[in-house]
Amino acid sequence: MEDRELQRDAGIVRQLDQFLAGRLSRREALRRLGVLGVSLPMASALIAACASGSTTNNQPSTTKTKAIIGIIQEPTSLDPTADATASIATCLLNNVYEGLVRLDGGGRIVGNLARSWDVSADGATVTFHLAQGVKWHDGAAFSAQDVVYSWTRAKDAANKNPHADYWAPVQSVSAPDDHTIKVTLSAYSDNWLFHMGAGSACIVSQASAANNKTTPVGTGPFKFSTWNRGSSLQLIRNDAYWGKKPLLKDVEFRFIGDANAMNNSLTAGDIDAIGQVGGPEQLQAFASNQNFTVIKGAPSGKVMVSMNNKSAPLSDKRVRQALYAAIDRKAWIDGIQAGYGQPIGSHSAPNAGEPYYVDETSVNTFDVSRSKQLLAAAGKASGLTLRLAQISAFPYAVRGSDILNSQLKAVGVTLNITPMEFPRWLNTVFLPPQDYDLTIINHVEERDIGNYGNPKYYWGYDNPTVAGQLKQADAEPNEGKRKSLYGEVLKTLADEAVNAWVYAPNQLAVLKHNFHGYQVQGISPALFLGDAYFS
Amino acid sequence: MTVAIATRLVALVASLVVASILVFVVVNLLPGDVATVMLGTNATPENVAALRHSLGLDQPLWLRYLQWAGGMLHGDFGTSVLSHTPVGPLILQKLTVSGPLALLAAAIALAVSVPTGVVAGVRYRRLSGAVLSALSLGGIAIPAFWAGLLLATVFAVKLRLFPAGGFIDWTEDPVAAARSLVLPAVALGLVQAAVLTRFIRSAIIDVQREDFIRTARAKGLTRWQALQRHGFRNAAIPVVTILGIQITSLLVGAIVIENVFVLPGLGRLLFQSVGNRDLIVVQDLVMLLTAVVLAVNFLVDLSYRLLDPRIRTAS
Repeated sequence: MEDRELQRDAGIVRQLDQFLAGRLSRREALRRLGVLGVSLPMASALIAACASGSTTNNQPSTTKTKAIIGIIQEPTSLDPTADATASIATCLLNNVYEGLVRLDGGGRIVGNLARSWDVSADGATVTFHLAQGVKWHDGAAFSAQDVVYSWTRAKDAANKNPHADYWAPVQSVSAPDDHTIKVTLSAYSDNWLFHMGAGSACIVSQASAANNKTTPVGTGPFKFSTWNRGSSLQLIRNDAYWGKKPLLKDVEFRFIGDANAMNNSLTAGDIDAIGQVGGPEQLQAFASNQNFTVIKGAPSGKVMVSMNNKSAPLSDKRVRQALYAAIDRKAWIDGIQAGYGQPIGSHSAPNAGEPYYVDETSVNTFDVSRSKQLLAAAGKASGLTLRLAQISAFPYAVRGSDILNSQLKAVGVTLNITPMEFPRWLNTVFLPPQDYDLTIINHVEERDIGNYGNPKYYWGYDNPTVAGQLKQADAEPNEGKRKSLYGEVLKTLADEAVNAWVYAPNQLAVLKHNFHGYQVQGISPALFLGDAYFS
Repeated sequence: MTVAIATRLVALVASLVVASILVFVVVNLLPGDVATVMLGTNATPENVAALRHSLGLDQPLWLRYLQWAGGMLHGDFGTSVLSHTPVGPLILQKLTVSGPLALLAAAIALAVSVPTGVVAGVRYRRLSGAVLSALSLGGIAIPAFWAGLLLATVFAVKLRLFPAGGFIDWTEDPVAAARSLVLPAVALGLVQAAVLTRFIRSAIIDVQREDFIRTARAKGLTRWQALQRHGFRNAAIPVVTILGIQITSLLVGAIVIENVFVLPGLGRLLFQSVGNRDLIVVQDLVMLLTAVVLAVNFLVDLSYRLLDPRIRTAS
């Protein structure tokens, strides 16, 4: 009796295997199972279970096509060509608006509306070949004239593009035909093409540009749907998209400023991903839970203690070096980033977006006795009091101030900490009167080393040699030569301890385990969802 | 009677005018402006000045005040500099979240505090009264955001009875909208209830010591009968005063709870707008709240007349 049952079970398994291997149709499998004495409902259930089991991993789901992404900062408007707020590009760049090029997850430049481009031998002329069959979300046809309009508009200071400086090397933009753009530069510029992947360089239509702050119109894989201020931003799939059609039908960005609320929302299933992680120390709970995936992107951004090189006593190189020698980078990375960060020693982060990166952490190492010696040499052996402008809205700056305070105390330096909001920081530290000694900030913009060539920039560094090298490096078409020029600058900055660069944080995201194809933001502020899907 | 009410109305309007001047001046004294926020860390003093000019921020203060105040008289609350959305409809939309939240929280606070406050007051010498009194003290010590986090952890994350955060608009799904207000309203309501319980308790204790209650008891009424006929009305006056203050503070004071539950209410809008220096939104919001406070005070004054005939006849 038992033997016969076992035989029957083996028979059922064999038929199911055949069905799974595709050798049996569903109908035939049902018939054969019936012969083996399995009732019809039971047989259908078995086959259905097998069918779903066979398609578990990484097959796009046709049932769940809406993704809800939690992000911390709400956009201030919906036009990245009018406002520097990073979250505008986070939600809309590459999803709704497109540029001629875009940055992939690693920071490499890839084609977008431009499918390819040629650079002339002298590097001063760049010719873009545009995609065909592109339509604006309002139905109008896209043409090279739109690129001419967008970039001419961006370059003109009257239009208040927050990055009008990106077009400084551009002499002219023209459209020889509807699918070609010719840009003439005053000289080759290595950074120019990189910056054309930024939000402020996206292509807008003359017909709709004036209303983009509230109703954005682009060419991207998603169309704008609604913006509930204070709550969420909704996008829907652009079925007329010229490129690869996205798998998601609906995308919602939900604005959740509080780290606890963000974690609760993911755990309770209200959102599918934490797109921006506010408290890395809270990731442990997700990392050990198989329902979630924690993804760690490349380190990007430069968290640093900026110093006012113009005002005494920080105008003395020995004082700056002494402060830097008092900083233990590991305490910062562990205390602020729960270990998700890489120490840096000059103004560059190790990722493909800044290909000139060199590790300079050995120049200013953590050494309390050296720090004290340097202070003594500078005549500050009896102690020193400095002011720290703290941006209270940024958690890393608040925690960084505490860590810095205790590390500097060990070498006899006292900090007077003034907490302030970001707008006040911009108006007192960043812009004149630039009245500060120290401040902690993450310089998130990639390839911003050129600021060391600007003596009016807020850290007040004035070195004509460095300024010359920076200009030369940007105009150098040869990659090897360019890298060595930037290398010299990075070395000089570290030697002079212009600022104390501490670490580059890894960009992090937490996803539901069945959410795939997600590009963690960071090097580019954009959170591109054209490849994302659920299994 | 009508003269008294009319005098109060005139005072109300005068207060609004004075308040609008104060609000405008104080808000515009904030360091930093929207132009620097828009240009970010790429700004130069020259392009900040140019943007300030094109936004009209370099006009004299009095002119900007007159434009703003004049607009409000015509029902035009201005346009947000950052998002280019008109502020009036924006605030109305937020009121559909904050308004029901404040009312629901106040209802919960009343439903909990009136019975507990009365019992704690009547039985203040007994164990049950002391226990209720201690519980309400504990309730005052609990910050609303902590109660919110606790409620979210238990009822949203563990039991999944309510959403952990977010808000779906009333027009889209009224049931879901109401559900997302339950936990925040309970968090706010319980903490407010604790405060209110303390006031009701002491009002009841005080009123029991009054001569008229002793007389009523001497006539043969029981303690409850005496309180019902003569006590509650007299105890209500301080309680109504506190309730008025609480409702106004709930309208925008819910900002912390709005952050915990990611509700797009007035508090969150105010917080974000201050951070972005979108001053027209800040001015309008503060003005609205001032108006609400003054209006609620006006209503509280009127309610004294209903509650206490002595005030009615005195004027």
